[in-house]
Amino acid sequence: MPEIFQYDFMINAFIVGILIAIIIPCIGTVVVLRRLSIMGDALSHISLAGVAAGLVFGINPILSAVVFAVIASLSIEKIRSKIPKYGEISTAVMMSFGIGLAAILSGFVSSANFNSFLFGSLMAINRFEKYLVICLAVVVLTVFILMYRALFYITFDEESARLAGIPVKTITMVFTVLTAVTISVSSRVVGTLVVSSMMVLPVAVSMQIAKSYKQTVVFSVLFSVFFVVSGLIFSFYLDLKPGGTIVMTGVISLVITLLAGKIPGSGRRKIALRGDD
Amino acid sequence: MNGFKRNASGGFGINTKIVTAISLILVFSFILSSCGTGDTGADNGKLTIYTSFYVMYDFATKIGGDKVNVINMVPAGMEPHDWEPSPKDIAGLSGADLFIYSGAGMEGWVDKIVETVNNKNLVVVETSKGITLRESSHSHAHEDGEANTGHFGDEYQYDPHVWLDPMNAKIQMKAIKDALVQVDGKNSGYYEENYNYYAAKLDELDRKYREAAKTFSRKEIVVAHAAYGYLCSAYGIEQIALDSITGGEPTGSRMKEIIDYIREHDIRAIFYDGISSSKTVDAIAAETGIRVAVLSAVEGLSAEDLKAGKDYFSIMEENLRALSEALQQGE
Amino acid sequence: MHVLEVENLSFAYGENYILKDVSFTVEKGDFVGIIGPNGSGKSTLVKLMLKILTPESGKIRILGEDIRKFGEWSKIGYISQKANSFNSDFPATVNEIVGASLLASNGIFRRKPPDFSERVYNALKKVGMQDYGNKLIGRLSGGQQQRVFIARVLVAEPEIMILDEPTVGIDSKSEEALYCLLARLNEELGITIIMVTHDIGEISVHANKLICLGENGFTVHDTADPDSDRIISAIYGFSVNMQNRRCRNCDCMKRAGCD
Repeated sequence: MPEIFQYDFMINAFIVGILIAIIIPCIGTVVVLRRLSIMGDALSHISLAGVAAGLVFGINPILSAVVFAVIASLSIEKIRSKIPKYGEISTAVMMSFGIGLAAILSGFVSSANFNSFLFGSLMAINRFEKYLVICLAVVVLTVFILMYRALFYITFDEESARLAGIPVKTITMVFTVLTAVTISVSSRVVGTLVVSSMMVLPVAVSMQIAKSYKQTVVFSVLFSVFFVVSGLIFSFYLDLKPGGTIVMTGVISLVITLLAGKIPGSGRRKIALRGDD
Repeated sequence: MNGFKRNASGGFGINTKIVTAISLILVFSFILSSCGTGDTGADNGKLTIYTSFYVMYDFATKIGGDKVNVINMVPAGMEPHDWEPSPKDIAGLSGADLFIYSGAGMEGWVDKIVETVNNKNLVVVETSKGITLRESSHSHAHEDGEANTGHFGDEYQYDPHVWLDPMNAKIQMKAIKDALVQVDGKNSGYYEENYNYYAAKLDELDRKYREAAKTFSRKEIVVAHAAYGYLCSAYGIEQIALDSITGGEPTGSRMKEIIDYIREHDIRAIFYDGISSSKTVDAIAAETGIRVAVLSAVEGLSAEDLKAGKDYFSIMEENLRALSEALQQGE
Repeated sequence: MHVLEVENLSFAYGENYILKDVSFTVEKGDFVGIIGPNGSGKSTLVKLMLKILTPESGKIRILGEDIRKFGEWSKIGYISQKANSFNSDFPATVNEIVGASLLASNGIFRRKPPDFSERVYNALKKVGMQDYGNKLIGRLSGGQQQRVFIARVLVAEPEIMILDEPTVGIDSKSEEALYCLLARLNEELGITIIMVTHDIGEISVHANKLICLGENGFTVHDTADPDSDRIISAIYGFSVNMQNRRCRNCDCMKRAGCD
């Protein structure tokens, strides 16, 4: 058995990393296709502020991160549905608020603690985190599979979905809460910086080769798992930080697929990930 | 042209009123806050001493006794390395008689503060002056010939935790005593007496450590951060640090190195400072089946510890117990 | 039973009454065109019919029921303007899109019906897109996309199809094909068609009824009415010449280019 698997801490890193790698793109596909990538960032930063608040006031930081993220996500969604014009700007404001609050609160918290939420804590997963992630993964996957068709319809054409009798409001709300919880819990494990990237990168790579929505989702998950697994392996043997290595693996993969797409005749698509429509 | 527009009914709009009110409130609070604490001076006959962090606070209180008012800058429970003084803190110094800090890179913000504070009478004491400093080292579990890398990053060339060797602590206390004598000569007898008392206590502490060290069957300790250099070199112990140059968590390969080392050398305990997060050491302990123990670097005390009456000496005694337990264990 | 009944419908954006006391009925099998100059409230009328907006006053009855109580919305198919409907990069295949609509009309959380693939295929066949099942929607031309959206509506077996300016942004050949398709669906499947358009000429070939909305009122009249030109010109405020009159026999349709 290769050396890397002989250590419990690495096995834990793989278990947790792979589970998170599976659920984040499920959320990420919908977020990216709804042109809400900025929301992923905003929620990451709000989670960070929540973590800082928890550390300052002596509350479990994961819990406070989740609470902050859920409240923020529901607020953003509410504004978006009531005043669509302000949807994107309110998300941007929320993101700035998150980062500002996090920065202020970080002054009252030890930087090592804080950093571990920024960059993740993959090398020191404890039992609580392991079981938390397993539960999260089960819940997210179950809900996602149940809502798969409805989410597809809503993401593709919200108005028609409503007319077709799909409970758009409820589903959107459930999905929003799910997004918030996933981002905040995952931030603890892989760090907020990695979470933002993992929401978007695997989907971006997947869209280069996917030929249907289903393929988009499946490939996103596969690529995401690939990034995590190879990122962890590289970081172990090359003595690098795991979080950053995972992200770089994703970036390099995206660049490779984009370059491959430039080969004439392959007919690949470019995609716009952010807001502008 | 009038800057304010009047609305149809001839009054100022609500918005203008609110904006003006908020601006005035902001301006006033800014002015008030920058007034600072003013000069408290020696208002009740006591000297006002500002200390950088806990150890200095403890030493200053001990030497100064009831003739001084000591204010510690880094709050309880915070790590001194992360802390930055606010404008309010700097303002407080303007009314102080002494400012006592350790030095050797421990308080990176000291130069800034000393420059900006507006107090010609402030006596600034760098207590670690005169102590032979150890270079910051990142002890590896195996010889790999790497150059020494800074413990806290490139800014820190030396290990600043000098007070962990009781003999260094004595030098620091003396520096404080000398400064007090200089500033408050009429009480010099009092300060000398205090100093002598604590110097003797330090000698006693040192003796206890030496006695114990003779009985250690192992000479290596595995620690989270390489903060214990002075303690270790004084008593013949080697520290193997999990340390990471950039802070945060170690890489996977570093974790593996430490775990392998622990297994090969039959280490029984892994130490951390008790205030920072123990996640990493917990993970290593879980994997190797060893204990997690606290070896305090006496950098900062939590509010409960302060209330419980802990001080430098009691913590160093706790450290001795922890070390003995780990290193005395027979086969 | 009228398929759609609108009685004294009024709607205002703020203070502006864009629809005032509009009344008309639609019978089963009608092919209705809603025309009028820009800003005359055509899209508003459609949104009211779909319950996206609520009127200030007036009544709407769909399939015999008060719209406020009406629940069988899968019987109403809606096709919006292609331009604003979706993101063309969206990686969905034709099958997935039509399939989603079938699943929604069946009950989105219910099991897939056993004849699922067959029904999707048949719906696509009706619009002539059955060979494009696995193609990505973004790769199709505007006209083809519009046909897929019609298939999406058809798969739910609607009684009424409401289209809001479906020919915007589509080349004229596809436009012709679209009209023929709608005419065929209307003739062969008996689906009532209500279509908003700004193209008076084309619609009057196929529609049997025209509702014309304007600033100073509205009219409803049969396209077979010889007075059509005058009526419509009055609404538009300028002279309008209708190319052809609607006829309901095969010859006429052949002449218009539909087979």
